[in-house]
Amino acid sequence: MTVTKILLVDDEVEFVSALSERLRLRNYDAKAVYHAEDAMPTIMKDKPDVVLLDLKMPGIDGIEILKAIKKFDTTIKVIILSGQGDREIADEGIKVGAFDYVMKPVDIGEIITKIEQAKKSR
Amino acid sequence: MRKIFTRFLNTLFHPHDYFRILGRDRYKSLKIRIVLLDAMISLVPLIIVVTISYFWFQSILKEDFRNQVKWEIENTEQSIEYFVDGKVSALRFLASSYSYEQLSDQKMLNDIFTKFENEFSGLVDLGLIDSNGIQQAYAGPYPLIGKDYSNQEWFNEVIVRNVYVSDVFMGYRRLPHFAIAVKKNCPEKRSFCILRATIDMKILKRFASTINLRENDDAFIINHDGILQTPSQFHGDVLNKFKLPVLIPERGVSVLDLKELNGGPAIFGYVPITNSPWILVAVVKSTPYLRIPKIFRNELLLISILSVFIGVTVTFLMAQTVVNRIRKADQEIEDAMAKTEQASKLASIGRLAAGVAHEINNPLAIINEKAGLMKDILEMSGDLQQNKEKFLGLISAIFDSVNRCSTITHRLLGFARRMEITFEVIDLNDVIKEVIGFLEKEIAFRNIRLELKLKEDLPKIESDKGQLQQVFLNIINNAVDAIEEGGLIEVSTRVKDKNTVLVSIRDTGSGIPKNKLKSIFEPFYSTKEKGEGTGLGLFISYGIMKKLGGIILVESELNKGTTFTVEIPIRAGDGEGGHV
Amino acid sequence: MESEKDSDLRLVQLSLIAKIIASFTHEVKNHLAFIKESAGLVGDIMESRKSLTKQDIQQSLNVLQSVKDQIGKTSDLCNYLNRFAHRMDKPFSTFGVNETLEELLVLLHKLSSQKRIILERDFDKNLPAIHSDPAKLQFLIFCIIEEKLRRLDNNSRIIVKSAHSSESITIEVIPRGNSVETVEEGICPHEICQYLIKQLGGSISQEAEEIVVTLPVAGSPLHNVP
Repeated sequence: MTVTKILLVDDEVEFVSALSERLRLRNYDAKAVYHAEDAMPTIMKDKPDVVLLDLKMPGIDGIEILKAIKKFDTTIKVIILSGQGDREIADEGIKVGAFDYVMKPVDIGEIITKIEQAKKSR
Repeated sequence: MRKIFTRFLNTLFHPHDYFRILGRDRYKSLKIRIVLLDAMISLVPLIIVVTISYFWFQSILKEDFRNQVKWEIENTEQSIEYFVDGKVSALRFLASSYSYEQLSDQKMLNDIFTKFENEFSGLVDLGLIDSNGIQQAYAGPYPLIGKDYSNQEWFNEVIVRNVYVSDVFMGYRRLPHFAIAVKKNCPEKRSFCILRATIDMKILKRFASTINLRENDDAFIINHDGILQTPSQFHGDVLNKFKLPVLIPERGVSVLDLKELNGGPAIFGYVPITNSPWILVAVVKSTPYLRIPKIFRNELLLISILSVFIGVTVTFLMAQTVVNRIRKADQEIEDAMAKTEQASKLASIGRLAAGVAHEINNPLAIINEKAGLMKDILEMSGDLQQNKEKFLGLISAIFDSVNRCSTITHRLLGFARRMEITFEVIDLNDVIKEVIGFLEKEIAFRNIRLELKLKEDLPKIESDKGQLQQVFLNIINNAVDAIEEGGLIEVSTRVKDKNTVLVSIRDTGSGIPKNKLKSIFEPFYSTKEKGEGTGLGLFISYGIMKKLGGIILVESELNKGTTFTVEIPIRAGDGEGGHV
Repeated sequence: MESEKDSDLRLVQLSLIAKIIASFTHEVKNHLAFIKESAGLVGDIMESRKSLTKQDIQQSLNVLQSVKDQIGKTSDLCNYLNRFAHRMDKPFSTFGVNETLEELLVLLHKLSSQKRIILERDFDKNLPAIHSDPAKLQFLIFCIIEEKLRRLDNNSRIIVKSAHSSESITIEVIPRGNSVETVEEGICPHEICQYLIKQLGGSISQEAEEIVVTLPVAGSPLHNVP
């Protein structure tokens, strides 16, 4: 059983560091980047299985990153981390190729379920 | 006098200044202004035209009348002339038809006289006078046979002239007559004789009377010395002297306007009667030509008054319509402003509420994860020793996030409170400092020097804090944008008078060109790039200050800077809008 | 005339929103306070002990769970506010009346709980969507509820019921409790309510203390576009 590699991309440091730690406690290989520019290089280097992506980072269009990820490797599953009022963006993300989305504040159980689903679908 | 005139002109063209005391009734003053000006413009030429027409018409009528008098005089003169000529011809005919013998024959002469009398109106007597001036034969009522006329002027005149028409003289029985004499050549006697007829003056009088005379008028005949030949109504009886006011020319009709003739102005018409020693005179004092204008004047007056009345009424109604339209348009603008303001408030609070709801999620998510992590760690290993610091760190992070949430919602609450228009007693300096607080970071970031000259003991004012902050925020924001980098913004407060305080915001930015100054308070006026700013800031601020009873004033010089001055009433009351 | 009413309406709408926001922030503050206290409590436990007993661990876990629950509640509340705020974006949309009523009731919770008045829902599950102005509708119902809140004694109930017929839907506001005399002025003058219902193309009727708002379903001939 391979360890699922997860990359979290979100500018909210406190949140994403806590979440990635919680994932690590559950035996995921979770890593976080806090700047959008670091996303692609890290993905290309680490080749994660699942990416948890916040679409609403300042200064950068999350959808563009999503497209870039998909372009780079279609097998990478992207789960969108969405704020409560961003249903539309999340839906758009799904259209562009995201696997699913979760609303913040996240329920850890829900995230785990979706990560497993994403992994299975690879 | 000049002062009053200037005042009047001012009221006419700028009644607004004088009606300012009435406050909002600039519409009334506008109406009055329109009606006054319009009335003046239409009335003045009307009055001028009517007056000119009136006098012109009157003079035409007078002229007409004079011509009529002239014509009548002429006609009468002609008649008299023909009459005299007729009589002279008749006499001449007699003289040539009969010989001296026949004429000197008393019986024959009587006979001739009788026959002649029927045809010859006014004939009094007929006489034959020999070359020595002795009346040889005489037919008539007076005993004049043998009278010697040789010394009389007429006798000598007729010898020379062959025909002679005499002035009127008092004959026997003191009745006025005149005489016509013709010279007859008597070749058989190698001499001449004179046939003379005396005619009753009444004939002349009848002629004079044919001139259409009214009550105060007088027509009569005089001789060249002014002796009346016919009786006159106002100027004396026959043979009285009539004072000639002018020199009579030898021929032709003259009609003069005399200012003074026998106690007043008169039309004086006269004409020498050809072939006679007489002058026909008419003194016309009546002024029938004035009566007509009087009627005309009454009608004219009526029409004028009526048209003035109609004109003023129509003008008033039109002014009313126009001013009402203007008022309606102004009201619509005010409403639109209010709407825009409210719409923008509604929109902004909506945005803010949505924004808050959104923003809050992040700190909430953090708390969630931190708490979750703590739970995980506790569940997996309840070892305090190892994880104590971590736990405490997590708790601390939770606190931070809670604070963050608080700040966010607090801001929302503050904004919501400000949505309602509430008047309260506020310290203006504090309000300004709060606003500066919002913009401090931006100002520092752009290297702009900020100077606050807030007067101590500035009296507290009664106004709406939220709205004032909106205004100051807008103006100071504009100042920051005008400067871009470096430069100075100076905000000062002071007392203007016992009712007003001032806030001045001066910047050393790019300034506003004079021709644009007037437009800055208009909606959608913006010097910013497309997409930046709505152009509504100053427009809304203007509206706010107007509602709060204040004013926004602006002064600016290109490349030197701009100063906005906001006047705020100390007590909530009425005032005026923003102007430059 | 119309614009005057419109601007009056807007002013009152702003007041409404201010009230709702006030209620919201009050509630959020409470939640946050609870979270803070809870976290503080766990922190105290951590700090004061040398090592954790089973009880300590259990207690901490419980507290932390309640923190998470509270987060959930707060988040929900923010959702409602968000949705409510966005209702004003479009004067015309197709929306579910029950959802808008729910938003309103959630956001009014604090306000009603001040007088311990319970807001109950009795929603028709099959209520069709209507095409109208959601913000105005919320506003109208708010006005009605607000008046009832003022007039009811403490510890009363207000039931908000939705139902539908083939052509229209009805919203009933049913107070249950004793009335009180009040001099307090309501947010919403009567004329504004009338104006609102007219704009919504519906009607309002009153039977005893119960108020019924009837609105046409989209497409019905009753519906008139202002």
